[in-house]
Amino acid sequence: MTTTRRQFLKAAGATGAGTALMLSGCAGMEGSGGKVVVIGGGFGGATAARYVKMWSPNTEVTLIEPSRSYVTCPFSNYVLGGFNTMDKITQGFGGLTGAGVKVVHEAATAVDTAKKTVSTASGTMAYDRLIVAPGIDFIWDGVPGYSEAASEAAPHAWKAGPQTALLARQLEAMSDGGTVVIAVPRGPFRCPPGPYERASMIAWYLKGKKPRSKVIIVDPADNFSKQGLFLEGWKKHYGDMIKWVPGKDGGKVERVDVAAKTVKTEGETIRAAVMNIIPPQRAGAIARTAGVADNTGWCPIDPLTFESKLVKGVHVVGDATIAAPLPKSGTAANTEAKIAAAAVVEMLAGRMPSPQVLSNTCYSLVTPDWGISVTAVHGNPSSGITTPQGSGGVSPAGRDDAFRKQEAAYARAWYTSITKDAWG
Amino acid sequence: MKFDSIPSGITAFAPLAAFVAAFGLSVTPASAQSPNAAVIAANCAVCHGQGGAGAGDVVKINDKTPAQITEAMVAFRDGKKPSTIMGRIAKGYTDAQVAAVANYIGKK
Repeated sequence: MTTTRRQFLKAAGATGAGTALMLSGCAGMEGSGGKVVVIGGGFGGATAARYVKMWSPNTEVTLIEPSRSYVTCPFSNYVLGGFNTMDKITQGFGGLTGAGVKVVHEAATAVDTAKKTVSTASGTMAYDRLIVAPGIDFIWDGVPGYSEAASEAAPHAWKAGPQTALLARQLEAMSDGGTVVIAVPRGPFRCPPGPYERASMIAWYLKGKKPRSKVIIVDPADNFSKQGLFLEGWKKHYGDMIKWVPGKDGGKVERVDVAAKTVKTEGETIRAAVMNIIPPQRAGAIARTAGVADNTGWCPIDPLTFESKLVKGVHVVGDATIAAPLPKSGTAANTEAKIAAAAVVEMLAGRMPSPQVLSNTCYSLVTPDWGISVTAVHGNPSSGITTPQGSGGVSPAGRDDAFRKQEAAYARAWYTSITKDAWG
Repeated sequence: MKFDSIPSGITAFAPLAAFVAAFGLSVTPASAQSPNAAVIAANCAVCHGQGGAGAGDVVKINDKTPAQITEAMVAFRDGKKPSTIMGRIAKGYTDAQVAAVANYIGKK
């Protein structure tokens, strides 16, 4: 027996639980009606809110984000490199408001997934479907000797904002000949190539201002994202200024002493002029509040819809998800948000989402004009994320400076486009 | 480029299917192979801008015809058109997906 959409909607409406579906039935192709609440205004949340509203104008979309602006982690390393500014990586929410998204600058304090409500300090709002984009939280005690308080002396700068500015000030204040230590956390963590791009950007700054200085990366892992390209670029541009200590050579951190400015690894104790300690991570707190994080600390999702595998009616996008082989990157959050937005619109309308395409593009700079990239294209059936054979991968090694300069220019275009895409 | 509505694509989906089944109904899977052009084309926006308007060094694509976009994507995929990144990306899309995106973004 087959069912027409109208019959389906009628059946759904008869339960009393299908209000949104009935709204959609009335609205036809104008949109899907209903109420969508998005929690979190980063790459994932902003994109999700924008695209639900774009694809279904008569859906009421509310974005809950306590901050009045969002400072992007992408391009924050270039502030450390001395050729970008905090204001250029700060995004406002006016574009989303202009697009018809209601933006509430409060923290979501409670989520009732049975009653389908989200609470903030000023009240409780109902949703038909909820999208959470929790980002990451730090596991502060994941590095012995480190803490949230210690991050004021030894910044993580892994959530961009005051921490980025603090690390930049410390680099400016250090004497020539000092050592900057970057401690990489165990995976998975936000922005897999981030620590290595950061080393590049700090080296760029030091090469120009404090050329006798060193950057040491201490790493529990034995390999890293875009490794061959980074190593090629470091050798070419920085000689032996950057030293990477992998886990097999004792790179795992055992303890940090922020007061003494020492980092003790399995292999040695390093005295640092500047310490950049990046703690291990898990999904942001709202994931636990909403019950969508599992015992790994991250959020299992159905790749077809990015709906939580733990709580129906709640979609999760961005760094908080378990969506390998997609990395925890801004572009991944953006593409996941579009899949979730499309699925939400389809489901509100009583239609069934079909598999689409997820894509990730991630640029890193080794110098301001020497760019490298990794990209990937994926299918998203419920059975698991797929990768078409031969697609994606890192940019070729051994290319000339013109090629690398072009990639650096494309990185800047990417930032312009993706931030406009998400925040408007 | 229009984002006003997204075309429907229907495939098996467990929760809704269970919901429908509870009413003794069933849903006919429609053409699962028909790509949802608006959603797939949205991936292009992260570099090429919303609607393919271009940004900085990344070229505008919404002034190209669907045939030109398709031709370029095939040439990228086959390695006949040099690129930094598009060759790697083009290899991830099926002919049907390329055609759908080209029709969606391309100049009408």
